[in-house]
Amino acid sequence: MRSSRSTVRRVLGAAAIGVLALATTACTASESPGGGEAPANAECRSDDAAWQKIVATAEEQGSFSLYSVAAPQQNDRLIEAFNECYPEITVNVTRGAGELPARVEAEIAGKQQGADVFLYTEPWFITNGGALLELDSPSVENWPEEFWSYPATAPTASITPWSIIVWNTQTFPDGFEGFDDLLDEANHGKIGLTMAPPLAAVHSGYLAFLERNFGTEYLEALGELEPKMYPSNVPMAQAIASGEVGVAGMSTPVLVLDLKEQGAPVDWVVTDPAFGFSYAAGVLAHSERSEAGQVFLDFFMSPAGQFAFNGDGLGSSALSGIDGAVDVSTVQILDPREYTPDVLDEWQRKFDQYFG
Amino acid sequence: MTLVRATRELGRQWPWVLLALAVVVFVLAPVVPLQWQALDNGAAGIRALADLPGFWDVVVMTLAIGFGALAVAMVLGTSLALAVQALPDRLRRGLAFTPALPLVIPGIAHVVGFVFLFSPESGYINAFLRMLPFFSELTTGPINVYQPFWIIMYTGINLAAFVYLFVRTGLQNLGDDFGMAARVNGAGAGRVLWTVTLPMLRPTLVYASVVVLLLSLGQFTGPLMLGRREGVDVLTTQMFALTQRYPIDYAIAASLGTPLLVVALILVVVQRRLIGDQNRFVGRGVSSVRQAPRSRVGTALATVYVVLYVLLAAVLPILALGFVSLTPYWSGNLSLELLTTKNYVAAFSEPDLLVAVGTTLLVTLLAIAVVLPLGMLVALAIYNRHRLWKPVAAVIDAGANLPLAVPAALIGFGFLFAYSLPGVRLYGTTAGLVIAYITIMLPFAVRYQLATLISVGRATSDASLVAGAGPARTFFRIIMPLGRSGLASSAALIFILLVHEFGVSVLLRAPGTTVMSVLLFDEYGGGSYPMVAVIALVMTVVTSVGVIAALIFGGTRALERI
Repeated sequence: MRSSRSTVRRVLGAAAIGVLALATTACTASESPGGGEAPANAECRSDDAAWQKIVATAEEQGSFSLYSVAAPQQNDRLIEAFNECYPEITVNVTRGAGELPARVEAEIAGKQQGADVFLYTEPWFITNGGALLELDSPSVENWPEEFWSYPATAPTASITPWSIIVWNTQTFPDGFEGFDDLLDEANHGKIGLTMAPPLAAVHSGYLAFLERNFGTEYLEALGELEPKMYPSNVPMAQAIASGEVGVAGMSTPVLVLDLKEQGAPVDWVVTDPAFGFSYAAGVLAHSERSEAGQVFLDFFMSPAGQFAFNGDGLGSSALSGIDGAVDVSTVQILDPREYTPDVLDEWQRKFDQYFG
Repeated sequence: MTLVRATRELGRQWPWVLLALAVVVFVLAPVVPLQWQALDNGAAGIRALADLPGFWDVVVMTLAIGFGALAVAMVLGTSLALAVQALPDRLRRGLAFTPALPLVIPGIAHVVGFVFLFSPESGYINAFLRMLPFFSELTTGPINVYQPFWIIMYTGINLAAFVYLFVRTGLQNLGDDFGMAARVNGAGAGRVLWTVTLPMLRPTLVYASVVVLLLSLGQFTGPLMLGRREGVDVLTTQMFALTQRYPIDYAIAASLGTPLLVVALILVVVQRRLIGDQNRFVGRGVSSVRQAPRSRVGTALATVYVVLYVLLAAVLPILALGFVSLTPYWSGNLSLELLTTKNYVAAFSEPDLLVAVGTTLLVTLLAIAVVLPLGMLVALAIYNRHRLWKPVAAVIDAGANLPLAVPAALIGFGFLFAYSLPGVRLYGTTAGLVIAYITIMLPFAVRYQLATLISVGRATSDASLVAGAGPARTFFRIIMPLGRSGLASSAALIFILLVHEFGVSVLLRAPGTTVMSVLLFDEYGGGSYPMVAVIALVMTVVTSVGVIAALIFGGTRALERI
């Protein structure tokens, strides 16, 4: 009897969550960029008994801390979707940039509590995967083998296409279709790039992508057009919207979508081929709220989580069939292992040669 | 000196020795772990500097911006203080505070405000200038805020507010008696300025120039946000770029900061030699009624000069920020069709901003409550260095300057390393953040109060000692009341700097210790300019309220001083 009552509660609970998820999605669809819908076949909670124990512990913990480098809109979409499924677990987000790895490493070294889940670009996880918890959750079974930044520990949660051409539609009403369109003398002094010496792996990878697909002469020609450099994506995106520069050869979908939604005169295209970099995520092994972290990461790896983070054009997903996600097969993904200090120095010299 | 004598000296001066130790611990805690990175492995980081591509170009640019901005700031700040001093009393009381207004605007927002005004393509001022006949043929400019010359001008205009505060305080404490004596003997206004006023201000000018030079060499926000477009790089932006790469090469990043540390130590020695005997520069300390006749033209010119500076350095950037805060994106034009309040609704509908305001006020006020008395003690030690054992005085003086020498892009990492040591449980705590704030604000607390002590002079405190009062009674009954307005001005300045500080706050924050500057930094890194403008304006309001409160405590003289 007890087992059948608990089964009935689980079924009713799942049904209630499903109705709530549908209602919440309908109400909030217009608030998020794109406003698409979660896949109809997304499973919210697994009924695996062992996993249910983890979930129960996570709900007792009640909250956990997420350190994330992702854009606020992506964090918000993911957390909102997560809380539709797990309303008992509060996500405390600390958003940051280059300082996050130092903080996490300091916490690991000092065994101090801070981040329970860390979401960052891939290189950190390749080096530090040993400090993370090995995952054994329902979503792991369906996760593609080739999309682990650190085996069984840090999934490649998103691939962000970075070779996006975004332009001001008042400056360039005809728009752009690909990189070849940038090499027009009319674009002299009107192109923006996000490059900050000394170049990081992602900048060098972008230049290598251009050289590999369009030749060295492309970089030379681009340099002759005297592009303007910006320290990061946000100032450059704002510069495009204002017309300070007319077109940029790189950006992130979330920034552009947000600007479009605000009514800015911008438009964009993801190039084919495209260049992108990966975000990975992991649960810190020394975390005292690791169950909550595991539940979150499991959700992140599920179709619903992947749609929340990558759907509606926000990124590429390791999972297929995610509504609106950029087709990952067209993205040449940065492998940070290739960019050793010597290789970075070499690309710095090339950058100075072409754009100095 | 023999060991016995040294021990006897130490025993006699144990309070000052304790103070020196406290300063050393506070200051070296973040500096040593950083410099260890640079010196480790046979100073591999420092040796690698020469191989960094474009390193010497970066050094040259750093020096150019540093000294160029110093020159602009010293001329502008000193002339502003003199102009305010030349105003009639009523006008002076109304305008005295205004040249310090640029300090009330957070650094990131101030730069962004200048971008809104002076972007060569989309700046509002440039668009207006291109409507004038002289510039009507231009399609961009005429002012390009991204070029080195204009970066130097921007940095100098921004730092002029610091110089103004120092010199204004110096002039207030100088009194007018020597100037009156010179005029009675036939000297004109110009001669009084060059032969009496400016020489008497030498300690103030030297201290101000040391602080401003260190600030301009360590400038980060301006060069980062303005310099990248035209390829302008300085040591601090290189450091910042290195800290955004993974893995972070701490050895090279810390090594890039080593020259600034060396410069700071050299400046400590240089400033002492430039000042020499401080007692030569003591005014009568009485702010007497001005006897020199004023001309209407002179008053008008002085007023226009002050108003123009305030307009350019503070009012226009705030207006630009205000306008963009009411738009969904930076449009580059002044169209009213886009105006909306949704950015403010979004900012205040989430608890983050209000919680950050509360956290900011808590940690800032706690830090001020400690750093002001600590700074006064250090200032007293430096002021009375001739009575102290030389090594103790030298350690206190050098220690009080060191935090200024470590760039904002790096000092946060220094604290992170220190707080992560086993047994040091300060990471992510309010106490840790407060201690870090005390350390980085110590130079400002010391310099401002030292300038006040020098200008007040020894006559009154010597009279108290002669009358039988002990050092403690003299301190609390004579020095503190006389220095109350300087204390309040110092508190106001430190309040401003701490509310805007983010280099340390970004690295030491935890979910419960997020301050407003970190929210602003986050928005700049992942949000939009309109939201940056909203948060910046909220910070400006909070800063202004704090400053007003400090000045009310300090009385009307504090208002005049600042």
